[in-house]
Amino acid sequence: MTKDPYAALGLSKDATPDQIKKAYRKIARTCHPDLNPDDPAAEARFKEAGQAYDLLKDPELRRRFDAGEIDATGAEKAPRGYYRDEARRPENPYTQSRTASGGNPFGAGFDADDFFAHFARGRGAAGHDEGFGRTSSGDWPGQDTRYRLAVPFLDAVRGSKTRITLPDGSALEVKIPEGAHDGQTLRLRGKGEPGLGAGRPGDAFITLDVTPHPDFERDGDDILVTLPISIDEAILGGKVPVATVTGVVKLTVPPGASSGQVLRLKGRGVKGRSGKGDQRVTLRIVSPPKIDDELKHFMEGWRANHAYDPRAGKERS
Amino acid sequence: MTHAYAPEQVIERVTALTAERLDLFERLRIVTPVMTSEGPRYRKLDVRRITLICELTDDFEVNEDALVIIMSLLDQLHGAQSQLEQVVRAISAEPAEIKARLSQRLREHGVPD
Repeated sequence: MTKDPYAALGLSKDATPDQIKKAYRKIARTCHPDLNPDDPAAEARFKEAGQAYDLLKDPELRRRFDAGEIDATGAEKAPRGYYRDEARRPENPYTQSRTASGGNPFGAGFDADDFFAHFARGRGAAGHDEGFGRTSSGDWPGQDTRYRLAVPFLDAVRGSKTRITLPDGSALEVKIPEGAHDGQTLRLRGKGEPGLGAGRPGDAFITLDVTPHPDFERDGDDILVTLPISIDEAILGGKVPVATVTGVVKLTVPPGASSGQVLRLKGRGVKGRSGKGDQRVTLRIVSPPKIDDELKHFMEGWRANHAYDPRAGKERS
Repeated sequence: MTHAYAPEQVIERVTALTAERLDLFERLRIVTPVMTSEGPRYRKLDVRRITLICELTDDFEVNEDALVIIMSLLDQLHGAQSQLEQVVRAISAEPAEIKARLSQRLREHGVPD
């Protein structure tokens, strides 16, 4: 902050603590970035006012600033992040069951039919077909509940069953579908809070939080791995064991393989909408831990007659 | 979404947060941690959300009921916004004549460009 903190709050030097608080609140109220998600200037005004307020609300800091002992920057804080920057990602668990009365129209990914049906329903008259709303006096549907569940990477890929213990001590069976992805929300109908009277119970929404795997990475329905191979495997080719999400298979490495080369194991990926994905294996040649004399002499002899330039055609700098 | 914070770590990161407060936010269901075998865990998104909730409480003296309503409205806003983005992205992948027809329809229904 370079501006005078009094100016940032629109005040003069003789402002009372109460006026300072009021001025800050007014700016914060109108300019908080989370309450003004689409106004980039709001963040700047909010920050400036916040820093000014931090300085002026503290009588000691204010005194030292007034006395010229410290400048308006005070101690600069690390840049903070705002919730809004995270909030709009489709996998935000807090927006999953709240988007409208009928729950999340997207469910697992974007389902266009659901989406249009959802908005048609929201427009009024036709079909609150899920019994939402009152049926007769005293009957109210139960509240929806929301949970987030950590799922190991392989459980999400292969599908699995698990149980979660709810705050009230009861347990809930959860079936993780094969190919589940991070941020996916499962809806367990009738597993929310009980309704009042004859009202139907609410639904439980469970957003999956997939834990990353040290070896496997996921790209849509494909699984990505890096496979270390020895120099001799790279030169001569051969069958090399590689882990897949369903167990170890033998991968044929062609003779003369290079680091960075990608081999594809068809159908070894994740089950998706259009069948199974592939596993893409990126090769990485690893030198032996110790270069012995035999290898060294062999390479020196070989280089004398067979030198090649892998950088041919690349610009030298 | 790689880093997960334990409750103590969140309390340490968010100055205005105490264990009692975190507990209150969870009872009000405005904060939902991820259930893991090691106990509750929080993501960056949660840390920022908690920071916002603390600010609403401290700077604006928002009471519990209002807090729940504000967060619910904010969630609805962000949810609607994110869905709108997905629809716009889907439409922008369509051929030009479909886009032209859609903007024609939007004009007919009185939505400004």
